[in-house]
Amino acid sequence: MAEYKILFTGTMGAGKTTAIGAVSETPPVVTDVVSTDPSHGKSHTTVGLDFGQLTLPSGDRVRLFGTPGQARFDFLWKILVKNALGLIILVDNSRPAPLTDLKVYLDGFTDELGQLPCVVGVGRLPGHPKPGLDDYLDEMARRNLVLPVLEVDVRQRADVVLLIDTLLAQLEASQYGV
Amino acid sequence: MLLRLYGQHGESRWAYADTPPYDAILVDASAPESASLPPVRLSSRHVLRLTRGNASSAQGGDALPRPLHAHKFRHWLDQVGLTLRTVPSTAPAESKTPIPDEDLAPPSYRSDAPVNEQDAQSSTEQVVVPDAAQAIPPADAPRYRLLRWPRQGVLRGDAQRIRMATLLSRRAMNAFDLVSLTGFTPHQCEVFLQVLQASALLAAEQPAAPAHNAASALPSAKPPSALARPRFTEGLITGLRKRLGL
Repeated sequence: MAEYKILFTGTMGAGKTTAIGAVSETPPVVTDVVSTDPSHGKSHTTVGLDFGQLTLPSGDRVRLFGTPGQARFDFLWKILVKNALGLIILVDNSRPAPLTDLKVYLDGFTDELGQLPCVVGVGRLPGHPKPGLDDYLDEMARRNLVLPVLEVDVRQRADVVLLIDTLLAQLEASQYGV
Repeated sequence: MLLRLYGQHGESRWAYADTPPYDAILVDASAPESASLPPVRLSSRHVLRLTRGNASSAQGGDALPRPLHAHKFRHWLDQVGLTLRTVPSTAPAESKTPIPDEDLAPPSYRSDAPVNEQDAQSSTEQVVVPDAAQAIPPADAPRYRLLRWPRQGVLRGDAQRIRMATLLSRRAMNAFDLVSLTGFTPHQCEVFLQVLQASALLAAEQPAAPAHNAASALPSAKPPSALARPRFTEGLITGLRKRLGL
């Protein structure tokens, strides 16, 4: 039985826990604690990691890990991303500077982005239309990155499934004809 | 014009469609991006170009001058409908008038040119009838890679387009490759490539050809879905997609 993992990252409140819960076959194991940061309006936040899983028909398992959102835990990102199938970056568009948030994660995973399948999911766009998805694309273009950037509502399972499918398509393309 | 068109009773029944597969496509020949229309073979659909002035006479029967008159359009649709009915469903319905070579040639990518994907989208209208011919695209067609993730107007939140764009973001591919990997219809794949090309989002690339293509040993009757893929990827991707209900 093989085990694989998919990593969810993003700022506090971006919806990593919710996204994992939307697709995990078991309720996600959450390591939330009382938040002492009043800036993001959450009573609890993840300081360790979230964990969910999917068991494939073959018996193989895909683990879903959510990183702690705070940049000060970036040493954990490096550990978690090792041997991951792909990376899902969730951005909360209601935050004051979501493009800057994105840059933190693009920088944090810059060594992996050349090879590792990655997708950016932008949440809370309907209520906070600025910056728009095009602004995210411009940021990607400045970095010579061609990554999928999708609007998501992490409460919607279909949206989270689409993010994962986008990772799978990248894997598929990388392996095609090899 | 559409009202008058619907008011006429032609020999074939057509319906407007904004998603592929398409049997006929209406394009604005005066739009800048129409010159870069298809980078891939137009194997199974008909293109009517709307021109200005008398350009239609020089371009043959698959062009009509503006303003477009319903009876002329109806006549063209009837001709196409006749062709579609007489061509076996497994064979491509070739356009009665060949597309000029300059239109088939892939355009050079102009990174300095302003790109308006919304305009590129709106300049192309599609008309479709069911049971379109589904010819497998040529495996040796030029391959293209995505230069930049498409804007919303191009993807329209369509999961299939998102998957194709994702594949193209990782590796240069042609319609054959897309059909092989996705199982989508050749029409869907070709049209999407054309939309991306019209939006100047593709660059031609010549990567190492996939092993099955390089061998040129693919029997023409063999469906692309039967191509071998690495077991690791296939098992994992298939299993995970199945688990997620895809």
